Amino acid sequence: MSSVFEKIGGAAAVDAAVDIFYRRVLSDDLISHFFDSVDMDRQIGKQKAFLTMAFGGPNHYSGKDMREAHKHMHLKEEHFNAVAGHLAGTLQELNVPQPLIDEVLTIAGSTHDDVLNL
Amino acid sequence: MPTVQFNSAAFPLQENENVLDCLLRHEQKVPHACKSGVCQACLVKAVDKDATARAQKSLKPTLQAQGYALACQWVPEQDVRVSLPALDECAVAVRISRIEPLNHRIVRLLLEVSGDSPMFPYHPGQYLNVTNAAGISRSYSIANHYADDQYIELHIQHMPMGAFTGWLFTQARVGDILHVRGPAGDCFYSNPTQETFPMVLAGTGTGLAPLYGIVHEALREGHQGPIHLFHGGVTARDLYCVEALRALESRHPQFHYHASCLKAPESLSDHDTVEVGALEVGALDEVILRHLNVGSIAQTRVYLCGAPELVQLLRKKIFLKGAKSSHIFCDPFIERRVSAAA
Repeated sequence: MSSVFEKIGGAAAVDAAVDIFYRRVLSDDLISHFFDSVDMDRQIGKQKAFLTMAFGGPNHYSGKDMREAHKHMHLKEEHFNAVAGHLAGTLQELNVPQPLIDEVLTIAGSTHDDVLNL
Repeated sequence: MPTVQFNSAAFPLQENENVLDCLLRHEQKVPHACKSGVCQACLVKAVDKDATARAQKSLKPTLQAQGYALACQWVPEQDVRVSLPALDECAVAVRISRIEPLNHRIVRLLLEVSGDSPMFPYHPGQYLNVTNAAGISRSYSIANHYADDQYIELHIQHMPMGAFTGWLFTQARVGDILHVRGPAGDCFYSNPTQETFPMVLAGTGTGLAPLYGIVHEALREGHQGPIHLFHGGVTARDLYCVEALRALESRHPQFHYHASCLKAPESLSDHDTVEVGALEVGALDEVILRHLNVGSIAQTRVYLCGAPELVQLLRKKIFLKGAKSSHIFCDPFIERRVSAAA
């Protein structure tokens, strides 16, 4: 049995993906302001934690954490979809097979209600 | 079972337990987030012996070289001692050997070790904490290699109302004794496998000090890749070391020095007699983007020092052009001054 995280390449895959993913969201005017904080190290750290979670890796996010972290942002469906789109785009850029991308999007999609505070 | 020593206490490890879990279980405050070796929030320093390769492998080489490790990835098989990232405790007594003006508000301060204690090892570009006889401390970046020169070189800008620089610019004398502690900072040259990556270094004001140290260190180590140094000022009189850097450029074909100012030279007032030769005009980020080789940006190491707003702006712009985030080394000045003062 191997997890999505193992199949995708573990922490090395997170490292390979984080710059591409972060560059994509920072270049997207719809959502860049949510990510454009002064402390880029901290942002990169957060994006790594997010990708680790989305790749099915070991993480300590609970639904409650997700909800708390995003509550003040008043996010809409379009913001969630934009981030999901960049996640898929990042994995396509890295030539990850589509079935695996679908698995990742399913995991990321499971945070939908918590992120949008529904 | 082995123990983890932290904050002068020893905490026993459980079977297969990592350093982070052990310290948290004993209610010690250690920053952490993903616990997966990814986010690097739980950075600690291995005090006596090296951490395991696994605990260090995802860190920047500059952090590895200083003995840092990720607490969540470190499962010790013997007793270990760790500390949180901070200026080291050891202080070395030094004597002012020279104070010379570099421009209208910046001086070069040279410090020689006084007494028997050896100078601590450091990499040019790191910073240290200087304390004067009145007990006032500030952090300054190191612009040279101690082993070559037998002195420490700092570039210090006069701060209006600044307690330390107020003393330095009016009362300090050659022969005065100061204490230095350190080093800290991960903005320095590290190239153990002798790669030929391009280097881009940029800063304003005394942000040049660490960059000056890094450039000299790279050339000293025989770096073969192209090295582009950008120093920007509001006007030409804010620049310094211009002639020395032009001379360095003529001796090293791989080194390129780009001096720039925000305002065109015509706007200089009459008393500005500094002879600086050709200057580029424009905001520093525009000047850099004019020269940035996008074809090799993914391999380029970037070093940014100086005013925090500018450092963060340059960092973002250069990252968006395609530089790897792990290849951008930053030293925004305010954050550490504040933490050093705390």
